[in-house]
Amino acid sequence: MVIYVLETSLVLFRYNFILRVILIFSIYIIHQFNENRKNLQQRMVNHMNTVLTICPYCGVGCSLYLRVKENKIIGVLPAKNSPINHGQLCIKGWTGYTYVNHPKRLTRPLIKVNGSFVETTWDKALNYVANKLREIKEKYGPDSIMVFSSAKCTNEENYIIQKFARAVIGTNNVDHCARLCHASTVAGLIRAFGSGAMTNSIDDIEKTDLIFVIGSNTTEQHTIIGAKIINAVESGKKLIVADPRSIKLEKFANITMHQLPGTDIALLNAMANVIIEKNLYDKEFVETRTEDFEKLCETVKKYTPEYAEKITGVPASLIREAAIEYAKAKSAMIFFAMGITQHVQGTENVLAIANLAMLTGNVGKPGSGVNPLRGQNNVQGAGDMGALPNILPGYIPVTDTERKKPFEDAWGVKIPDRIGYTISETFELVLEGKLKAVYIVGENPAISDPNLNLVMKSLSEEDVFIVVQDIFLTETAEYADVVFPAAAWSEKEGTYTNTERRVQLLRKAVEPPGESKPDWLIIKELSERMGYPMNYNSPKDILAEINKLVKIYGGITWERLERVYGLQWPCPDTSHPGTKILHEGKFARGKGKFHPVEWKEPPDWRDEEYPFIMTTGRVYYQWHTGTMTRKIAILEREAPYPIIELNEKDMKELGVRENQLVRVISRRAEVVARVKVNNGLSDKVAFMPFHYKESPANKLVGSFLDPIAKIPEFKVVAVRVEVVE
Amino acid sequence: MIGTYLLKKSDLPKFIDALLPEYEVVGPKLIEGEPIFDYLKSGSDFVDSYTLLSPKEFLYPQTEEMLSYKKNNGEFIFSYSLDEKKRIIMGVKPCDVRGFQRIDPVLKEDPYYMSRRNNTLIFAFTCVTPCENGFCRNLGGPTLDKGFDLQFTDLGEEYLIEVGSERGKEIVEKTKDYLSPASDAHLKQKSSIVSDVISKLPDIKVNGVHELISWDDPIFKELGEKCISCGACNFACPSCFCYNVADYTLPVGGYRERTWDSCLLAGFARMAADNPRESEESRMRQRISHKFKYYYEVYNAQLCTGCGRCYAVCPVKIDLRDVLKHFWEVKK
Repeated sequence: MVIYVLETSLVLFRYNFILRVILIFSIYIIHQFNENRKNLQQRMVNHMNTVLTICPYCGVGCSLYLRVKENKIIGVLPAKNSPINHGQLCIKGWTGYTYVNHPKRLTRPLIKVNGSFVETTWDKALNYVANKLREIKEKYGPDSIMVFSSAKCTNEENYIIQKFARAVIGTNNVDHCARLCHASTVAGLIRAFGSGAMTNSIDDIEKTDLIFVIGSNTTEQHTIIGAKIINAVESGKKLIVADPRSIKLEKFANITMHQLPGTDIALLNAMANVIIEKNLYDKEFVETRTEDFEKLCETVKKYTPEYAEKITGVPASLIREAAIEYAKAKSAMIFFAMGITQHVQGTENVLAIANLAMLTGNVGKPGSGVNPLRGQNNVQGAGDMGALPNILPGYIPVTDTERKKPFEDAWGVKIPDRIGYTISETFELVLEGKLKAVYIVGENPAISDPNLNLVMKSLSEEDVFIVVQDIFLTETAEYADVVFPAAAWSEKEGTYTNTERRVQLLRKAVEPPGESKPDWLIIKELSERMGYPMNYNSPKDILAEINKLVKIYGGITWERLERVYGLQWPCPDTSHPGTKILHEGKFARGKGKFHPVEWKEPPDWRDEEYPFIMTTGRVYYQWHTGTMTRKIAILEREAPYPIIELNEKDMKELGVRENQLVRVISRRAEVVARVKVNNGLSDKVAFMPFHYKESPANKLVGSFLDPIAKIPEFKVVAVRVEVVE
Repeated sequence: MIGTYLLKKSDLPKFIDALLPEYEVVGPKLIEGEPIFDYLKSGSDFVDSYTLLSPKEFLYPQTEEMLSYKKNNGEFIFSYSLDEKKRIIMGVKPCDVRGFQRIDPVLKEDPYYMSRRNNTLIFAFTCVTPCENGFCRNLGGPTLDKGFDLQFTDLGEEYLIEVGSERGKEIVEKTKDYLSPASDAHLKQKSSIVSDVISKLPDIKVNGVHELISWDDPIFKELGEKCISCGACNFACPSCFCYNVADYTLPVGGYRERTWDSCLLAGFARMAADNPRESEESRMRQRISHKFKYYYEVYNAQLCTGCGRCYAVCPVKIDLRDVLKHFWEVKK
């Protein structure tokens, strides 16, 4: 502006030197005054911002404030008024933000040229990908392309990613990591109840009389919920814990059972057996609200506690006691996680849990229910938004011609009937030549998928085009042909849905580094170049479309979310307050259905050559493949290296002490880890967390899938343990 | 005290606005409905309210770059900057101010902390109602004798302002248009308000508790088993000061950053050869003993200021009030 005035002054006062000087001088004075005022305002306005948002880690969905200074997050405050975490956070909430500002963040698109990555422009990278995908689609058909959506992305992003797969590519080949964690929950509960989500709410813990936790290390993985359970026990409620290893929660339990991994059906059927045999079941509920009770009775007849003891290793008297306590409680909640779901019999495990809950009338009332603890911050949302090969947003089957019409009308395309491929099938299909392109958003299968040797072989295939969209150059991204730099959690706005179906608003706190962009924007730009323009200017627009097409999200609008701490679906219209408890009065499918299930020995069971049953899992301080947490100094310090847990007896037999290196060998691979003791493990049972790329536990895991949910059996792996000389 | 004044409550925003051009003013303001210490853009932002966390992070941030370096022609050039901006923390409670006073002797050689500390004025606010979880009755009480530049006490229609330092006097000069002199009656009014608050706070003995804490007390194991290692008690505490340091490399250089740390984490005390505090019991013992015994033995003041914040942020509700009562019980 100054220069413009100077030029004007030169023109106007060409012949009057003194006037020119006066004008220039006054312009200078005014300019300086303005600058000072702006500087003052800058100082006042820009030096720190405090933004309310949602934690990016687990499915509890705690609210917290981010302290932002000069575009960098420098601190965190828990939100006192959040109905979920009331001013509390776990260690990841308190310290888990420093990865956002890490020097290794991806800032520019990368294309692989002659085996190494070269930085390039968005234009070049997007055009290249658009052309390649179009080429592959024309040559091999739309079903030769697979899209991995991300449970860390927002609902709006998951919606736009599945829309990209269906409307732009023309395939149902879209999936996300629920395939590896709670696919069996969704499959099981949809069959038993008609809806696959957590039936009750987190605060039902305060209304219950008894909590039964099976296959979940709640204080480490869903810490705020684990703490609430501890508080419930301290206020007099009962707790039953069933887990193959010793976890902190069992110190507060009335009854603790250490069943062998993969034997849960025997345990749960035995509990049902006792409840029926002793006439402790809720007769009214069973008669009026369920069907197929007789079939259940038939099947569980042989699962006496004594029979189950032989399979599970849990003393019969303990099983009996647990069953009686659970049935006698006025209202009881079951919480479960990977210990139940990550099995070949995962869906059947969930059905066994549903059976127990229906048997005792513990569905559809406060303080009760079947409560799966969803892992990722937005895995519930990713499923709700249809990032699944068989389901459209709102859980509409892709084969339902009638109910998918609104989507076809809105998107202007025909949605294929063919059910798409899952994550667990992807890498074999690549090796078989059936998939020619894999587009991966915010997922790291090179560490998180089972049978890693196969995954890595598949990713190295010449003939497959791999695009990875992520915030760091992950182990998977190393294999990519193109890498898109994405914005991280605090660099965008949108919504996340937590484990109790609560949709909450994420607010933007910092600008993404370099040229990285939010995932939704990258998909929109790619889609445009592939001939399908998407007219969204912001995630708000995407949520507006979701409100129109997804009935359970109908009333969950951006405006409402700005004023409240989230809304729980189903919430069909803007006057609806959200739903705390599902299946009140009647089940989503009408009557709850008993599904009798039989225990089968898991495929990767131990034998003489591989005498240990190893179960994989997580530790408190690291998050999944470590993309975020291994870059955070305090968290990495707490859990810096791969471990394998054994009980003292086995350690003695092997001749190892704590921290000593051992080789862990399965039927398909081997890794090295340090020994740690855990005496809750039965003899010849081991536990290994999967976070470490230097010893990825998932290398040892086989590709045995649940036939219904296609979830891999991460929890049962036969291994041999040897000392490293 | 070097003078007492009155400020009409309705004039408080103007009082703050008068100081804003020269100082950065930090005070509680409502952010999405919660009172949180933050930079005030105008005097009307200020709310006189107890906050979940103390304003410790304005003297000692949660994350702070200590130094950075660049490589230039094979040479390393190091640089660091100290924050010397003139700042006022206003609305800070006596328990939080005492927290700063406890940190002062420990971090007195720390240039990052001291440059902020020396350039920050403290406008303390007396507690005129007891807070939910506080137990400061025998740890100093709801008002300060010293350690403030100005201390405000809400008398109803107006604030009583006590001047506690030369810098406080300068502030009074700058804002004299809004101030009128206070009288002994006002001081008496403050006394009676303070006595009332004290009478409503739990009377938990602290004097001499440092002699009652024994190494083998079973409470450390009991609480250690409950503790879920979230670090919240350390992060919310106005007098905790431990930090972790990490180095990061950039393409041509790097930086060193420190972040708040927690003695309840296993890695906190781990060394090359061993970890003297591997067990949960030993870490709980460390925290409680440091708060009520070790610091007292060195500095002759209790490290705990009785603010009750650790209880508010603890997911499993570990309560230092119960711990103190336990030590007195054991003595019997």
